[in-house]
Amino acid sequence: MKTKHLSLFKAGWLLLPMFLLCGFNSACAQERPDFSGTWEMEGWSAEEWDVEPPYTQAGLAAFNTWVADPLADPAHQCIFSLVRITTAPMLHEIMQEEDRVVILYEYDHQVRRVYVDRPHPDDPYPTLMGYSKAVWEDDNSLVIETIGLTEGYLRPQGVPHSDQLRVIEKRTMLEDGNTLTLETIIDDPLYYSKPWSVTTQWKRSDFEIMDYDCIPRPHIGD
Amino acid sequence: MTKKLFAFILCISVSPVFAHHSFLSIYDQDSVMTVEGVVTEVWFENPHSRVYIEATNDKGEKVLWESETYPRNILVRRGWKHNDLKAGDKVVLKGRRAKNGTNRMQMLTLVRPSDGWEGVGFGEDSID
Repeated sequence: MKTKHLSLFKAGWLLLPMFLLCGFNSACAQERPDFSGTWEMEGWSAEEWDVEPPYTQAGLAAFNTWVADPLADPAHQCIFSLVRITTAPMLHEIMQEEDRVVILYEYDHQVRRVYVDRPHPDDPYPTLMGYSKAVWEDDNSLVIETIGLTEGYLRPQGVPHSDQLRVIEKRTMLEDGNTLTLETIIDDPLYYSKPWSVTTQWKRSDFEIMDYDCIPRPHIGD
Repeated sequence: MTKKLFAFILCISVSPVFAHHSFLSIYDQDSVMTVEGVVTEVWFENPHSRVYIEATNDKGEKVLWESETYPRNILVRRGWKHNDLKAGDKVVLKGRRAKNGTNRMQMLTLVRPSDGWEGVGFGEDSID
């Protein structure tokens, strides 16, 4: 009995410094990173996407439709959907709050308000940017999950996605606090036989975001 | 058997790897040409900026060429200010010809020999 109490007492002394340093709540969890600020992509996006997507038959057919008529890509009419926006090599600004993360994209002057710990709507009407929700994971990465997207293309190279797409974006701050990695996971069971992902890296930027007004115009010979 | 073989060949003939397809996808990577002429218009815009160039062909006829490059926002960050190039400037354009055979090109390089000014094109090794 005496020995047992002594062990507990010793354990208490060992744990005390940890609680003093870290606080009673967190048991030495690291502070959440603050992603607020303006970010620019490191490298050029076309090189970062050196992967072979695992197309299904339907996915390949959709891709070949694009290949047959690339001018029909809605991007030529200044219509850009979620993943084109989020992975384009242009600037974005993050405003991080307790209950939401607001991302202001230079590309197509798009705005996303992503609420933390709020579930998706049950039956969302599909849109270009879909419906996003955010959670903080134990490793202090910020994970945003998006559903409810209309079918479209992920990249300028015409990589298609169906309306079954679920996009997971995982943002992790590197140790310097000025670089983040963004893993984009494409989970589209209609067009791809398994989820696949691409990682881009971003650093804090001194550039100011400019307006991206976009006007489709006919070309010579049209 | 023949049907399956045909289908297989058809499937592998269109390789869905990003790096094999142009960003603009409407330009022929194997059809690179050079045009010398005078700038008629500069469109400093999104989604793509353009420079229109009037050249003279072998028959002495004036021919208008359209060249397309990055969005304005990218050009600005890469050092191209909207007043840098003007109508009337003489330039040398190297680009990839449009697959549809029109006088349209993807700008790879653009040079103004009078002072050596260079525009921002996709670059000769671009996989975009």
